[in-house]
Amino acid sequence: MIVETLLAVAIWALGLTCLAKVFTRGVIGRLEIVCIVICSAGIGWLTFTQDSTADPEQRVTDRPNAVPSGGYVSSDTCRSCHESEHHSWTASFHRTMTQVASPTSIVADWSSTNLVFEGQEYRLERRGEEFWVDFPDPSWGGLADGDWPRLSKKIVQVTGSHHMQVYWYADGVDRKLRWFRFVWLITESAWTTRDASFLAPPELNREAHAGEWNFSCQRCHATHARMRFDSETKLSDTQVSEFGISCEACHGPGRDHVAEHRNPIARYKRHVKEGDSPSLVNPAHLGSERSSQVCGQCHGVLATWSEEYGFSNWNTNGFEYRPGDDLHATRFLITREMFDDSAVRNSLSSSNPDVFPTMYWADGMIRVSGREYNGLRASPCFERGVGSQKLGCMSCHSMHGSGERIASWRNDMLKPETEKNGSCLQCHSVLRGDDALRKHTRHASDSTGSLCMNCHMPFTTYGLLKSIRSHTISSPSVQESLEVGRPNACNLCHLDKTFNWTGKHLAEWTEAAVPALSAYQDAVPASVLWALSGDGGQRALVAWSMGWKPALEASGDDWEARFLAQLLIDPYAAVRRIAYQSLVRQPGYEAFVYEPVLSTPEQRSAKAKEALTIWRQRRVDEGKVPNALYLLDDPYRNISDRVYDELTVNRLDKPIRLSE
Amino acid sequence: MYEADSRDSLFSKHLRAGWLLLFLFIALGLVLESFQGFKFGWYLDVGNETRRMMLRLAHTHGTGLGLIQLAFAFTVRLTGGVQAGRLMSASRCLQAASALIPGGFFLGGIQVFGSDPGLGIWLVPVGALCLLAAVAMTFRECVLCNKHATTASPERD
Repeated sequence: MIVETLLAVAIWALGLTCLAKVFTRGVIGRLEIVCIVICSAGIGWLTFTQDSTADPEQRVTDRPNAVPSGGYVSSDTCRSCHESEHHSWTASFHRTMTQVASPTSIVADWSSTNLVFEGQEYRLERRGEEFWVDFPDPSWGGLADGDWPRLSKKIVQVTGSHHMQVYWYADGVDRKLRWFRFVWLITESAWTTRDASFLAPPELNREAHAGEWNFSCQRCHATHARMRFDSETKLSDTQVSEFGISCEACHGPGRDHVAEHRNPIARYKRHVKEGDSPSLVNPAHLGSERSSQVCGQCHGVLATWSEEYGFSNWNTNGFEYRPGDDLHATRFLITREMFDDSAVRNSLSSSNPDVFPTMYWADGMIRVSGREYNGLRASPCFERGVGSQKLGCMSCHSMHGSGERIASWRNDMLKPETEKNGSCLQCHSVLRGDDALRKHTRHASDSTGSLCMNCHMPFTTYGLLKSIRSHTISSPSVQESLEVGRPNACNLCHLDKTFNWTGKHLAEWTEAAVPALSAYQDAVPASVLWALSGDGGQRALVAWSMGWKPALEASGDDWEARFLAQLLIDPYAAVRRIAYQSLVRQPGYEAFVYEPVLSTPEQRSAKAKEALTIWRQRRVDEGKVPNALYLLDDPYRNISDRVYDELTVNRLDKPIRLSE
Repeated sequence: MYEADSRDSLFSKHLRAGWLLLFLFIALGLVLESFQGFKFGWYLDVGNETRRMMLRLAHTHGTGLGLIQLAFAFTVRLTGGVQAGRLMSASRCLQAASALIPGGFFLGGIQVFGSDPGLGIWLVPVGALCLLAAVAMTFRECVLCNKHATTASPERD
C-alpha cells in the first residue's frame, strides 16, 4: 500500500514535470502525458480494489485467526534478533502444537483408502492444496440404517505434531471448529478414532461438539488465545496472537522489548552491564518457583470453567497471567492438598465432577500427562528445596536445544546431563561416584537401575497412548501400590517379581514394614496382577512396561507375550493399542499385524489367538514348557489355569476415563 | 623537489597499504573458507549468524579497501596538477578508514552479544565517516585537478 502510494506520487510528479514541457516538445510530450495518466489510473485502481487488510490471515472467517494484540508481536519479530533461539523453537513441538491446515502442516496419509468405522464410511480427499473429508453427519438424528446424510468439509486447522495429529473442520457459522472423528498416530503412521486416542471406556462415544477447540484446546495450544464467545448470539470470534506455543507464551508480550531494543545505545548498555531486560522475562533467570509457573500455566490442572475463576475476563482478553507473575494470583491450581479440604473438593466436583477421578490417583498424585506442574509441586525436592537447590522444571529441562542435539532434545526437551543423573546430583552430591551410587541404589552403577529417574520418577502417569514418568519425586512403596493402585517403580521394571519380593527388599533396605498380602499378591507377579485384574489405567501402564527395554532386560522377554496377547482383546482401545506396541517389540512379533480399533471384536480375538500361537511355538523352539497353563519356569511365574481365569474374571471393570 | 618527494611518499605509502590489506583480508577469506569447509561450529552454527556476517564483512571490506588504497595511490600519481599536501587529509582519512572498518567488523565478530556484534562494531561508523570524507576530498581534488588542467591547456579550447 505504502509502496504503491509512493509510486503514484512519483509518477504524478514526473507527469507534472512533463506537463510543463508539453507545449515545447509537441507530440512526444503529449505521448508522455497519456502514458502517465494510464499508469496512474492503473495504480489507483489496484489501490482501491485491494482489501484494506493486506494480511490474508485477516480475511479468514471460518476458523480462529492469528491477530497479535495486547502487546504480543509474534515469533517472526523475535527471529530478527534471536535467530538461534528461534531456530530451536522452530524445531520444537511447541511451535507445531496448532497450525493452519496446509500440505506442510498435515502429516497424515491423506491418500490412504477410505476409513470405515462402525459401518460408516469416512472419505479423505486432497484437492490441490486443500484437505477435505466426507463423512456421515454426526448430528443426524435419523435411523442408523437409513440414508444417513453426509457432510463434506475442508480441514482448516490441525493440532499436534509429535505423537498424534488432530484435524478440525469449520462449523460453518462462525469461527467454531469441530473435531474430525479420526486422529493420525504419527509414530505408527495409522489412523485411529478420536475416542480411542484417549483412555476411556468402550461405551464412550463422544459427539464432536462445535467449539471444542475454541473453548478448551486454545487455552494451551495457542499463544494468548481469546475465545470471544458471545453468550447472547452464541457465536465465537476466537482469536489468538499466534498459533502454537510461541516465544511470547514463555517470555511474555514482546512489544516493549522490541521498542526498547531498537535503540543500539540502549542495547549495548544492556550487553555491557549483562543485565536482563526488564521489558521481557527470561524464565531461566526467574528462579525455580516462578520459572516453573511459566510451564505450569499449561502443564497444570487449573480451573477456568466458572465466573469464580475469572471466566468473563478470560473469554474476552485471554488469561491475565503473564510469565514472571505469580501464577496463583490469577489462576486456580487444583492440587492434591484439596483432597483434604472437603469444601473445596465438593465445590470443584460439583462444577466439574470429572476433575478428581479422571486426573488423580486416590492419594491425590497426578496420573495424567500434561499436568507435570502439579507433580512438581507435590515433590519434596520442590517443597523443601531452597534457592538454587529448589527443584523446578528448568532443573531438568531446557527450552532451547542447540547444535546436533536438537533432534534428540526436541523429544522431551531434556538437558543433556538429565539423562545421566546430572540433574539430581546437582543437589544430591553425596551420591556422586560409583560406590556411593551403588550403595544407594543396590544396582550396578552403570545399569538402568542406578538411574535416579527409574526409581523416583517411574512411568506411572498416562497420556498420549503411553506411560510417562511421574513428575512427583517419590520412593517405591508396595504399601502405596496396594492402597492407591499406583504401580511401584520396582515392579514396573522387575515385571516377573511379586509384591512380596519387592516388599521384602524394601523392608531390608529402608526399614519399611512388609505389608500384609493376599495369596495372589504373595505369589503372582505384580505386573500379571495389574495386567489381568487391574483397572484400565493399570493395564495400560503395565502393557507399556512390558515393552520397555530396561524392564525386558531385567525380567526376560520370553513370557510377557502371553499377557500382551490377552490385552489385545481388552475392552479399552487404548490398552489394546499399547499392548500391540509392546508386543511387536518382543522377539518373534516384529511382523505381527493387528488393528486395535478399526477391526471387529472377532478379528481381534483371532489375532490374539495368533499371538498366543507364536508365543507357544517360540516356547517349543526354545525347549520350554509350551503349555499356556504353566507359563514360566520360575516358581513365581507359574500361574495355573484356575488362577489365570480368576484374575481375569475379577478384573476391575469399573469405567475409568483419564483426562489428558 | 619537496612536492615530488611528498607525492612519491604518498604513492608508495598507499601502494604498500593496499597490497598489505589485500594480503591480510584475502588470507582472512581463506580462513573463513576453511571454517566453512570443516563445518566449524563457532562460525557456522545457527546462533553464530552474527559472527559469520561480521567476519565476512571484515573480509569484503578489508579487500575492498585494499583496492581503494591502490586506486588512491594511482590517483595521487595521475593528479599531477594538484599539490600532494592537499591530498594528505584524504590520505589520513583513508588510512583511518582502512583500519577502522575491517578492524571494527573483525572485532565485532570475535565476541558477539546474541544478534548484536561485539563492541568493536562501534569503530565501523567512525571508519565509514573517514572513508566518506576521504572519497569526497579525493573527488574534490580530482575536480580541481581537471579544472587546472583545462585552464592550463589553451589548445583544448
